[in-house]
Order: sequence, then C-alpha cells, then structure tokens
Amino acid sequence: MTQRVLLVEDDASLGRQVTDRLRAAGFEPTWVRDGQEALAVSPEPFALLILDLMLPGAHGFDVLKKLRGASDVPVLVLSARNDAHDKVRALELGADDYVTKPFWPEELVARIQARLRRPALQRSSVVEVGELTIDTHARQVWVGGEEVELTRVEFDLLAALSRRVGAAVARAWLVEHVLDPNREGGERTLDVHVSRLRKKLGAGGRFLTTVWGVGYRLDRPART
Amino acid sequence: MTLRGRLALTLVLTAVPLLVAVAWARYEIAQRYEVRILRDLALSRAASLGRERCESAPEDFLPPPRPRMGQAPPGVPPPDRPRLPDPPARWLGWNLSGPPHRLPARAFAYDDDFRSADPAAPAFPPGLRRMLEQGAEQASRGFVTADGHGDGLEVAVRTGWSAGRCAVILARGIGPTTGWSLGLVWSAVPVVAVLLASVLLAAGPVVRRIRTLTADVRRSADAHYEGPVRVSGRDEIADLARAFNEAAAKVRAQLATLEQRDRTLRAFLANTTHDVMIPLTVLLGHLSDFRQRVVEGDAIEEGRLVPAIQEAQYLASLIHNLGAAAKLESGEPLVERHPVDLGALVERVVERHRPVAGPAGVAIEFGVPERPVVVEGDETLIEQAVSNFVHNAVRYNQPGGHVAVLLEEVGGGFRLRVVDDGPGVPEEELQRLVERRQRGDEARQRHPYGLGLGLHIARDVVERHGFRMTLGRSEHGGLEAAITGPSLGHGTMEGNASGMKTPA
Repeated sequence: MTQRVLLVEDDASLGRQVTDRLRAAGFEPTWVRDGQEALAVSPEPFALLILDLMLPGAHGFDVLKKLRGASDVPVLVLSARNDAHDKVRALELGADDYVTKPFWPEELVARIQARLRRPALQRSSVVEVGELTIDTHARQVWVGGEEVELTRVEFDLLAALSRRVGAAVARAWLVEHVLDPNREGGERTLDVHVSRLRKKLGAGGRFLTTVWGVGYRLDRPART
Repeated sequence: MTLRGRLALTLVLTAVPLLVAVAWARYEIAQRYEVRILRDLALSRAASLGRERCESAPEDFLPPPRPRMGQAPPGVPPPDRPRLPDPPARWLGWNLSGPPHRLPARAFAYDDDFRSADPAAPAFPPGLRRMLEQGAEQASRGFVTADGHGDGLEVAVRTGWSAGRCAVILARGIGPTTGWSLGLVWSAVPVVAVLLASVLLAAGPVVRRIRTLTADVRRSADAHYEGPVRVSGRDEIADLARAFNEAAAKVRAQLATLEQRDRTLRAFLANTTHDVMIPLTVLLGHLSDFRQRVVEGDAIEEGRLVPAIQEAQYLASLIHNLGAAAKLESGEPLVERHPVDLGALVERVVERHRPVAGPAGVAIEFGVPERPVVVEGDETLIEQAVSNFVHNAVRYNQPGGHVAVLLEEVGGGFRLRVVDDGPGVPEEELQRLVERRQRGDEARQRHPYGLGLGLHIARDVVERHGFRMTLGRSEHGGLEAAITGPSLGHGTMEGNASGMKTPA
C-alpha cells in the first residue's frame, strides 16, 4: 500500500522536485504551497508531513502547533536557516525530525523511510531476518526452518545484533557485552566468533555483515 | 528662558510675596495695637469718670480735644487724656507697632440697646453690635472716616455697667493706613533691585563659561568627538565638561567598534563571495560540460557526475561553515545550549553525505549506541563540526575507500570518531591544519587536503563546548578525527522526538 505524504513547501521548483522524488520512492505525495492552505488540510489520510518553516500565509510553527493539537502524524521539518534555535523550537512544538536545506533528495527519502519504519520496533522475542529466525527468549535459532546449534557467545552475539536489525554495532561494545571477560580476549576473538557464526548460519550468514570501521550488523533483507 | 532671566524671575517671585506678607503682618500687628490703645483709653476713661458721671453726662464721655490755645468751657473739666502704653518692641529694627500715635480719639457712651444720649454720637455700627450681642466683651472694625481719609478704627467695649446709659463705649481713632504698610514694600524695592543686580552680575561668569562649554561641545561633536573639551575649575561646570569628555570617549569607542564591525562585515562578504564563487563556477563548468556532451550525443558516465555532486556538496558545506564562522567570530558565548542527541546527529550527518559518498565509490557507515547519547550544546554547530570531518573524509578518499562514524560511551562521556582509509595527512601537516588561518583563503587552500576552514570551525566548536578534539592517523591508514566530552547521560531526551534510536 502506498503511503500518502503531505508536502508543505512554497517554492515551486523545490516542491516539484520533492514530489517527483517522493513518487519515485513509492509514496503518494500531496503538495500544498502556503501556510493558510496547510492549516486547512486534514492530516488524517497522511502517513507523514514534510513542513517548510518559511511559508507565505502562516509560519510553519503555526501549522505545526495547530497540527499537534489534533494529530500525531510524524512531521519532518525543512529548515533553511542554519540556526539551532529554529530546530529546537520545531522539536519542542512536536516535530519529529528536521532536514536542513540544501539536502539531497536521497537524504530526504532516507529520513522519511527511517521515520516511517520507526513504530515497527521489535517487541516480541522472535526476530525474523530473511531465512533467519531468532528467538532471544528461548535462545533458539532457525535457518530456513532448521534449528542451528550455537555456542553461548555465538548466540549472544546474534541476539545483540538482532535487537537492532539494520544498525551497526560497535566491535568494542560487542567485546565488552558479549564475550566472556574471564576467558576471552579482544576484537580478534570476536572476529573469530563472527566468522564461525556466519558459517553456522549458512544461507542466513549473508545478513551478518561486517561494517567497516564500526563492527557488525544484522542487515535488513532488501525489500522486494 | 535664559539663566539670567530665570534667576531674576525667581528673585522677584520670592521677594514680592515675602514683602507683601511682611507688610500685611505689620499692618495686622499695628491694628491690634491700635485696638488695644482705644480699648484701654475707653476703659480708663470710664474708670476715671465713674458710672454716675458717665451716665449723667454721656455726651462728655470723651469729647473732641479743644484747640491748644483755647480755654476749656467753664464747668466742664478737661477730660483726662490717658497716657498711651509704650509701643511694643521693635523687631529687627522694624517698627511693628504702627504709625506714630494719631490720637486724639473720641469715645461715646451707649446704653444696653446701643442708643446714646450724646447727640454727637454716631449710630452704633451694626457689625459691632452683632458681635457684642453674641457675647463678645469687645469688638473692633475699620471704617472710612467722614473726611474720606479712611483708615478709621472703631472699638466697642462693655463697661460692665449694664442697664445704664454707659453700658457700652464706642471709641473711635485712626488705624494704621495701608499706604503706611505698603511703604515697607516700597522701601524694600531698592534693596531687591540691588540684590537682583548682584545676582545677575554673579551669574555673568557662570553664563559665560556655560556658553564657552556649549561652543566647545559643538566643536567636538563636529569633529566626531575627536578632541576633548576644556575643563577649568572644580565646580559643577567643570564636572559637566568632564562628564562630556567621558561620554565622548564612550561614543568614540562605540564608533570604533561599529566601524570595526562594518569592516569585518565587508571583509566577510567579500571573502564569502570569493569562497562561494569558485565552487559555484566549477559547478557551472560541470553542468555546461554535461550539456555539451548531451548535445553531441555522448553518454555521461556516472563517474563524470561525481565531481559535480561533490562540488555542490562542498558549496553547501562551505556556506554552512561560513555561517558558523560568522557566529563563532562574533565572539558571543554559545547562546543555544540544548540537549543534543549525538546518535541522531551522527545519523543525520551520515545520511547527508551518503548521496555523495555513494557515487564517489566511498562506503560510509556509522555505529551509535542503542540508547541516546545526550550532550548539551548548539546542535547546529556540533552537527557542522561532525559534518566537516565526514565531508573531508569522503572528499579526500578514493573509490573503494571507507568512512566510518562511530559514537561510543566512554566513562561518563562520549567519544565520537570519524575514521577513513584515505591517503591520510602527514603528521607534520596535522597541527598546521587546525591552526587559525586567514579567511578568504579557503577556496584557494582547499587542496591538497582542503581541511582548512572546516577543521578550524570544528576545533572552535569543540573548544566552545568544552570538548576535546584530536587528529591522528587511523589504524586503517587514513585520518582519524575524534571528539570526546562529557554527556548528560540518558533519559534527557525521553519523550523528545529527536531521540532517534534506530538507524536506517
């Protein structure tokens, strides 16, 4: 299902560019060009609102204030002034995020996607990533339906990464929180555990990626 | 109104009412004195005549004095003129007792119904009668004498011999004249005039000095407050001159500051224009080149787009940096101090550079702790500092290179590292890089390392926040820039929407 996004932006070129990009990224954009119009639009059907602050008709803050009185729809503020005060004020008024102009269209789309993905936080103890199924409570792992036996360290490692699928976890943090401090060494030991784990996971191992300069990550499977 | 005019007016306005008040008081005192004399005269005459004689011949109570030379009519003893009391004391040399005695006075006897047996007696004045009927022992009033001279004075007094023809005595004399009272005012006029003259004379030098000071101040103002005004003497006028000199010094200082600010602003504009125009020109060149290729039917491979993308990114970063530089160079303390979620900030910075890193073949990654790492500061400036590191790390890398931004909690604080595996910077260059450099050279000096303004601003921002910045060789061969500092801990951003925990 395509998600509807409301764009409030007075500049014609920028507005057109952003709506084109949003459409290309699979969203259904609605473009409103001034503050008064924005105040009149019901936020109900929209999954997210992109709000420029400097608007004719009404300031973006006013739009934000009115909107927040009625709706919890995520709001992403476009700020041209590189002034912390504007951003802090926008966040205080209930904006969820901001993007400073100039921005790359990809950057905007990435921030929208990140924002829309947010509520889908893993709450259950079972995490599924591609062929991988990880039950952190029962401490069991399946690859394509087949259970895989893991050592304690290997499982803790996988569980730590599965708690934040898509986010890179620092090696130092993994060494400190996953490895047994009494027995095992540093980051080299960790690397050894990771490569063993990858092997054990077989086809699922491809989701366990090394992140250069950071550590490891359990990748989100690419959406089809 | 001039100073002299004001002085004269003040003197006159004070002296005239004062003199009038004194004259009035003198008149009042003199009249009271006269009233007392007339009463005493009437009572002593009544006492000397005795009730019987008074009642038998009321017309003789106090007849008009005979001429000096004449003889008293036979059988009528000359009336004993009572001696007048001594005049009251003088006050400050002023005779307050009234004019010299202008008796003889006359007196008439009346009965209880205020009728007199004396044919010469005037009708009893109704005003005095009312006062006596109301229980007063004595009553007095001024009246206009028959000759129109005015200033007559009547005193009515009860003798105590009620129910007879001598119950009430009306004594008539001359009271103090208004003219006499105002004489005091006229006599004071020369004194006041002399006083006025001396005041105006004394004001002369003061007025002259004030005029000189005024001229000096005008001259000084015309000369942009360059020269001080002359200060002479130690009085209030000298104080005024000194105060003006102090004020002029402040004005000069302020003018200097404004001029300095103006020069700085002009320089900033000139430098900014210069700095911005170069990458913009390069960008225009790229765009023109693309157009040329499209027109000629040539394909544009992705690699050709990268420099244009980078130039645009550089331009955006440069403008942000120039804004940050203006803010930092204004010397103001950081007014924007708010909780800043560094994890969210790192994510934003990386997302910002990803569209440039990708086409350039540079992989960019980041890692932040699961919980927000919150510091206090100016979010825009911190973001700019981190962005500058990332920008440099991406821009001066090679295809196939990596950049990583790693935020970690260490002790009670944070450590934020930007690491790359680019060609790096020679040790001896590192120190030089962060040193303050002349603005306006940014565009010229951005190669080979191009770190000038960006790194300088990063260092400035870090220092302003009380953080620490280190530059060194990364374990991967490139540059490692690290910022460390204290954090506010977690939870401060609870409920704050910018607390973004899950990176994309």
